[in-house]
Amino acid sequence: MADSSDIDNALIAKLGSDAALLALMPNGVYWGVAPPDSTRFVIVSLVDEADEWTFGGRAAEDAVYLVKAVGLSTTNPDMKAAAARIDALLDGGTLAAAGYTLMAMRREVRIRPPVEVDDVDPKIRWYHRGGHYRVTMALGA
Amino acid sequence: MARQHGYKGEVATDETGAGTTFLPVASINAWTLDTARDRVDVTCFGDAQKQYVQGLSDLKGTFAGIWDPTTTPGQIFKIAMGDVPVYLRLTPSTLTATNFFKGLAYLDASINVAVNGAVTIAGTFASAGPWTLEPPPV
Repeated sequence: MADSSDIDNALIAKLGSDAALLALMPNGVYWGVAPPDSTRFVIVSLVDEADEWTFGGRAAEDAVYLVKAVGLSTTNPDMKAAAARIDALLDGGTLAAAGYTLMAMRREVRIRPPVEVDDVDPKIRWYHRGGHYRVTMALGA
Repeated sequence: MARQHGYKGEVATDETGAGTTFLPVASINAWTLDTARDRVDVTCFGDAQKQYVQGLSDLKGTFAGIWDPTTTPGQIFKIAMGDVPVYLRLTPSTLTATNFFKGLAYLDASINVAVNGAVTIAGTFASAGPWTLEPPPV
């Protein structure tokens, strides 16, 4: 039985097992929020999702994920390289999840919001860079 | 009888043309059936309103679905690109599987491939013989 959460997990696992990305973002890859004291990490979250149906049941799942590198300015994170590595892994890449077959995976928009300045201590600044990635999986291995 | 949702619809075919052994077509998500009949205007001077006489049913319909390379070529395009009519069974809901339309039909099929979406298929059919509604309406 296909479990949609396995797609989320597969995405996290793919990014989290890449040595090049971990060298740039050594705290790892996390769903939604990183652990306390993390300074260079990758965040994955679900932005939008729609299922496609046939008479036999759900045929495909079409999800858009926010995938971004997050870095604290004092650690001199290489945000450019991290975002490029995320894109190299995901845009047109492969993804294996039990019970599914990948139909397409690609970036829809890139994101690079303004530098986030801490409300209390303006010397604390966070950089964010990445993109929205659409992952379309067909049910059935 | 309760009203029904279309998510349990079905399109099935019998390629032998016998109309006895139907196999569901995979990855179909919509069908329509139109039983419109020919009507001829026979309105004359003095009539209070327009009048028509009715001819034969021009039965035809459509179907749509998602391309599956393992099933769609054999179940749809082989028939559409051949010359032999197929027996179609159209079931509004398999929750009440004894209620369906069936009859011989000629099939046309098309495929739609776009950079920003799933590969989809669609088609039309027209009667190639008598059609029935099961069970017969009383």
